[in-house]
Amino acid sequence: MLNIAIIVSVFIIGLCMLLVMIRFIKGPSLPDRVTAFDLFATLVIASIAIFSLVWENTNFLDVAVVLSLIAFLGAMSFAYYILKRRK
Amino acid sequence: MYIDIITSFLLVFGALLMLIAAIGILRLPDFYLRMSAITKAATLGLGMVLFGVAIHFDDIGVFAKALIIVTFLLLTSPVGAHAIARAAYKQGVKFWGKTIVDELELLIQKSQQLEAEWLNDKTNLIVGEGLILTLLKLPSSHGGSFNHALAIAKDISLVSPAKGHRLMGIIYSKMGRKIAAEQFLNRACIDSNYNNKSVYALVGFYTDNNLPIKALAILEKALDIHTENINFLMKVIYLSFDFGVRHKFGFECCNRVITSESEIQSDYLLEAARYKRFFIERLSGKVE
Repeated sequence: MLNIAIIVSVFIIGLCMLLVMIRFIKGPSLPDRVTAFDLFATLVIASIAIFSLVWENTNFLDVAVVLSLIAFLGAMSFAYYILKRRK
Repeated sequence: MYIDIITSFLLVFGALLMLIAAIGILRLPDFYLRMSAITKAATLGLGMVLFGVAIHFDDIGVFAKALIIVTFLLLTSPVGAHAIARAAYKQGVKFWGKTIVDELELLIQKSQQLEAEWLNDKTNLIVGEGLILTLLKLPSSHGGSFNHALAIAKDISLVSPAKGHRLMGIIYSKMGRKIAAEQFLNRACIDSNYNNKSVYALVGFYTDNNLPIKALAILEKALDIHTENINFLMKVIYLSFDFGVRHKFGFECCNRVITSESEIQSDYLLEAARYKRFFIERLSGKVE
């Protein structure tokens, strides 16, 4: 039961990454790409959590904590960059 | 067995919520709508996946880690979304064609229109007042400026001192210069012989700064001049009740509302009668 659920959720998250990548390539503006990147980071955190379940190793969750911090800092610095950049 | 079922359910459901977010970011028509789609759905989805993992391991350390990630995400994701949306708006990212209201744009248009009218005719006080109130609402990056508003208020005070001083007091209180604000609002009250607007402005200023006794003193002075003004009487009752000061004065005002000879709406009479009971209870409680 759990094996099937893991396979299904990994498949769904892979599909999500594909959709977000399409938006990342299409744009059309820089803020669109930044939000797509933000959602991509969230998806990576989720997949790390699921893989820690697959390998029965809880240390991977530390990576997820750090990644959630870095994703926020990335979003904030991109916001600052968008604000200061010349039109 | 049960743990496996719960974990599977949380994993699949969280992944599906993320799928909703991903479809939203791909299909929604403009940047601001996409922003709203990802911040809501993705946060809940990630929370469900992480709690699924925490329940499977059945360990307090893992649970704490999951809680840290979810709490951090709940705190940061609105902040980040707001920062990016603000930057995008300032860069002029376009709205969808069917967006109806853009409040900042409307405000800028209104201020420009009023500015033109004001330059045309500097004796039209209603236009000047509207212009000042619009300028106070605008952010400084889009033409809102305290000094400009003050200059207009000075021009108004040449024509009508009471109105000009009241507006200057309001501007100073927004700037945070409390002494100047108090001075100007007091002068406005004296110039206008305690009319409704100036007294409300001063009382509002005092209640915002948590000085109910001063506010009640001003209302007492105003009531000496306009003895039958129902708005002032009700204001005294509410202030005295809310801040718990000068109950005798509040009680007196209740009596004045009830025994007043002019026509008063029945709502006010009912309110006054209700508050009179509270005041009697509080006064008698103090005596005992």
